[in-house]
Amino acid sequence: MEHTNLSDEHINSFIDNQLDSNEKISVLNVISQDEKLREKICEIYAHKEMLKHAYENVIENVNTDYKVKRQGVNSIRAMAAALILFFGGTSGWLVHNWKDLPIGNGTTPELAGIQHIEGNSETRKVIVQIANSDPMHLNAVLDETEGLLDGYKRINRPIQVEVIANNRGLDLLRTDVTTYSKRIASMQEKYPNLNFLVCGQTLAKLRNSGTNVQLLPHTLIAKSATDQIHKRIQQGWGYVRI
Amino acid sequence: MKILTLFGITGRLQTQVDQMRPKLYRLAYSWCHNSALADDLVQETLIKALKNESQLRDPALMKSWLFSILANCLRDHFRKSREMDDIDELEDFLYASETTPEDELSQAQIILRVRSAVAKLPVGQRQVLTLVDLEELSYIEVAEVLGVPIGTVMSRLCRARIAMKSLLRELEPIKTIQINKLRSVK
Repeated sequence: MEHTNLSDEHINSFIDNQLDSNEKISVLNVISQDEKLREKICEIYAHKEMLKHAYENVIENVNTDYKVKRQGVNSIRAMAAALILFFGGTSGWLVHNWKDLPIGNGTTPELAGIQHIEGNSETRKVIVQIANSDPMHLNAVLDETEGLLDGYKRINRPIQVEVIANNRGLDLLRTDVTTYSKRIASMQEKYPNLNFLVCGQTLAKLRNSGTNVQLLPHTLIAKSATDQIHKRIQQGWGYVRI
Repeated sequence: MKILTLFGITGRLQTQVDQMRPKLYRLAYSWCHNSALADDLVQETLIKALKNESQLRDPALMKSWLFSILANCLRDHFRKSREMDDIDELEDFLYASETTPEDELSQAQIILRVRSAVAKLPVGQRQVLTLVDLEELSYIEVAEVLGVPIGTVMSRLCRARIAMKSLLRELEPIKTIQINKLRSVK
């Protein structure tokens, strides 16, 4: 695809305005004498415009076809471990000594890592995000949360937990979709320090697309998952994504 | 809460960051062609940006800084999804389904053609092409965003444009060929 003495890289650099004025002039001189090159450049410009056009109206939308390869429960745990982010600026969120915490049956080390310093009775606060509707993930978020709450309850330490659902994770808290309504109701009754929230943006998108979304009782609506997570992080909460 | 307060940056840049979310989403979508995944990547990007806000020393570089985080989030996503050696060679047909998410919305045929063609490019080429053509970044900025040498940016761009040309031709609707019926002649 070489034209005259210009490489494809050089032609692209001209099209993308990456050349200085002298280089541009020399390219223009070549172009003026090469009709095929002119056609080629026009075609690339056209493709550039087509690309812009193809994505200019992309707007955030909830896609019901979201599928990601799953590799079993171990990968969920590995992913959760990889995604645990600790914030708050206090040493109370350090990961060490998690084995000392009498955790509940369902609790994996990922959430058990969120624990206290010996003798510190300050309320621990954690926000847990679920963003997809894979049953393994939905189970994991409830198991982990319950295990954590149970562990703190048994050692009589205060903890506050928020579970926030966005994207397909909203299915967890939709009356018409979830298979966990009884379990969630039971958790809400057992743990007054637990709140379930949904992302207001996801909810609005679903409703705007004509979906009749009904939420489980006592589900709160955050402005958006991102805002809620950011707000909590700023307030010193720990953040876990499952 | 305004996203800006996350970054702890001054009010002058508030509009700039607020404007970035749609751009991030558009770019993420052009890379993965999956609305939910794109949304997820954008959220992850914003959260990582918050965590690492101190890394942004010059607010003027916020755009490419956020793009760079987005590119890392996509890379992480692929690493979790499957093992891979070279993102440039990866053709993730996993997300490049034959019917794009927007099919059902009856978008113009040309949009579908271009998106399908972009989706068929290897991820590395797709990223370079969209950063240059869609976000109008310079080659140097693209190299910084993706953490690759500028020569790699230029070669990926060349390959992407050559591939696009061919893919767009392949994806052109088949025109009905008018065949004149021959009359039998006695």
